[in-house]
Amino acid sequence: MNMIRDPLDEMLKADAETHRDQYINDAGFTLRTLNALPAPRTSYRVSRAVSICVPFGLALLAALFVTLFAGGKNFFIDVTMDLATETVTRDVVALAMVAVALFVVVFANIVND
Amino acid sequence: MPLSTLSANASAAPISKSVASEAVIDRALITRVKLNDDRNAFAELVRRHQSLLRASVRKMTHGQIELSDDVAQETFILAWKNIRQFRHEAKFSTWLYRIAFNVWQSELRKKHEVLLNSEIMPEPEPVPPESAHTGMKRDLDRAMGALNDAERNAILQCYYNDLSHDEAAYVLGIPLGTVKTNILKAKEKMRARLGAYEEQKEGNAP
Repeated sequence: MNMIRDPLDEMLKADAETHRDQYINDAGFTLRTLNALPAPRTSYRVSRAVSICVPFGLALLAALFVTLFAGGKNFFIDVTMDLATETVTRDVVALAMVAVALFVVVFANIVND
Repeated sequence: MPLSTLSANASAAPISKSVASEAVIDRALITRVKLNDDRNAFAELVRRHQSLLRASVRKMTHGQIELSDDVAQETFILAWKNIRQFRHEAKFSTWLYRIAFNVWQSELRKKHEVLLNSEIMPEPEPVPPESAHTGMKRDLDRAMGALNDAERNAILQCYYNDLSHDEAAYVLGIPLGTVKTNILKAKEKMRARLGAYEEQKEGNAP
């Protein structure tokens, strides 16, 4: 292959090679850097099992509440009425549990990322 | 630019065994840091890359040793904080160069703001002792003085950090075409400068 010689290219490559070959002694650099690192994060990491079991458990309990105590009435209309009148009923508690379950799922996913 | 291009190009190039094993060691250490916040593994990464990174930053900062070490340290701190975002699409060293370049750019912006506010003239860059320079190196350094920041950065990444044009584009955060243009322009300017020195030398010769 006919290569055209480029003296500038050769000069740059030679200088760059010398530049890279000059090893810079650590001289405490690594230690200083490690000391400057931020403290380890307090780990709120939720285990996979907990992040799956807790929301499922809460959702099951909530479903049980609804089935046992809603008594065939319209659950969502009842809860809306209860919330509007600021009355704490079993239905409201069930809805709160579903909300908590959703929150736990979202929180666990954020922390685990 | 898409990082997948980088890895695709990297895999197309012949990689020596030692380079490949270096990459494997880096990968293992990075995994330990990601999984367990392992400081010892990170210390090993710093030890392995500090010399090349500090040399590269020294070149960027025109040889200001203290400043360049501060930039290198900040680079490693940012790497520690963001290591979970590193997905091995580029080499770890290339990723470090990218962080270092960004740290240096923000440092320059800060300096520029301070200068504008205080109207203090900047200190001249320290000139290394003449004896340490070979004739070629001195001429090259002087020729590089003719380059603007973009051209100088392209030369530094492609020659002094030994990166491909693709990798340089990733580090500098600019399109590949711009890197190639900057290299061409830089070399044109440098050739003109070096030609002028040669003529000068010939004119001075007895």
